[in-house]
Amino acid sequence: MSDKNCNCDVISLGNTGKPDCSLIADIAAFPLLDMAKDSTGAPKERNKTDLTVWANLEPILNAADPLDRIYPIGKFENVEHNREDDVFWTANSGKTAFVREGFKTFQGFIVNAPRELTGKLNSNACQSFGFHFLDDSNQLVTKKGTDSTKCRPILIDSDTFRTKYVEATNDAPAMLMLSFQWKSTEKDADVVVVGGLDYTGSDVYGLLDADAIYSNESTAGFTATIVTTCFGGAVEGLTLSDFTAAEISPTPGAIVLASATETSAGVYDIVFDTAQTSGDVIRLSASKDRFDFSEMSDGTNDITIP
Amino acid sequence: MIIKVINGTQFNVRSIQKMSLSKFKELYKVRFGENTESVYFEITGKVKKEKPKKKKDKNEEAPN
Repeated sequence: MSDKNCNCDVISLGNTGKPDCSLIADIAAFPLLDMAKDSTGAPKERNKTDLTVWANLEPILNAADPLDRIYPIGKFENVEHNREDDVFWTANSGKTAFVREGFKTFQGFIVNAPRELTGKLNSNACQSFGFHFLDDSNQLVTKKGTDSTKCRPILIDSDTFRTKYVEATNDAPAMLMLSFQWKSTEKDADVVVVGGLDYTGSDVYGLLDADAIYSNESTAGFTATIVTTCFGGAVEGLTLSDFTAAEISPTPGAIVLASATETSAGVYDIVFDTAQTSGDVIRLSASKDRFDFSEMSDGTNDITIP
Repeated sequence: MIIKVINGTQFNVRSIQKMSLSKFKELYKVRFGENTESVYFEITGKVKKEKPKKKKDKNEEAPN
């Protein structure tokens, strides 16, 4: 990016007044990844209050549509978040001329992060996305929107988004290193700092993917063993109202569930309201904060009634 | 959805109310054993009908 966007309509210099008090960004601590476009395909723009008020933010962390969701990564340490030197051309006479702005790079470490997170984050590299972040002073740092109540993610050059797992040594714990560059179109002057958050970085969370393995299928019901796909932990505490079931074939439609019993951690005996017919294909779905059950209902492991 | 939890099983009350006692027993006898009937009546709020005792007809008494 050259950043030679000189405003030739103005024949004077820009005014240089500063307010007596303004919010200054602190060290980046909690990056919040956000898709570049929303579910309608429009460039993502959020109300600032969606990111500063917990009651608004938590539904976004759990949004059913992945394009509308915010993806917190965790607490970063030893963050370096700087713009490289600008590039100048030097004439034989010694005169220099501005060529382009240096790229802005983020690099930081999550201490004791699970290594599975490396794969999850590296798979983002083909997406178009950006980030906001919470700084060490618990302020939101984001990009200006179309008006003062709105904000947008600071776009990331996804070609540069990379995580690396750093093994533990005698002197340091295991860590996950993340680095990326801002998209060359993103300017420091467009970044805004918002204070007054009613939550802290340790309140935010990313979702765990969960999937089910089925057994004991019969016309009366089945057993679903539900675990997180990356980490294998049991998904406990689901209630009957967290589940929905539908017949996929031969007669698509909702199925009423009569009961659910968690017989052991993450193992649920599900009973149908009315007996199903042999050969029916049933799909179970679930919904609960902190989990993404889309793998369970993606059509790859439906239940066929024996 | 109205849910009632009994011994760890979460029941859809409306669904069980539409279910016959015999069907309920078929589905839940293994889990609740001899308490199955009382669980059914607790969920549905229905009252168990006592069968009227058959009165012995004096005329039917066997002759001594």
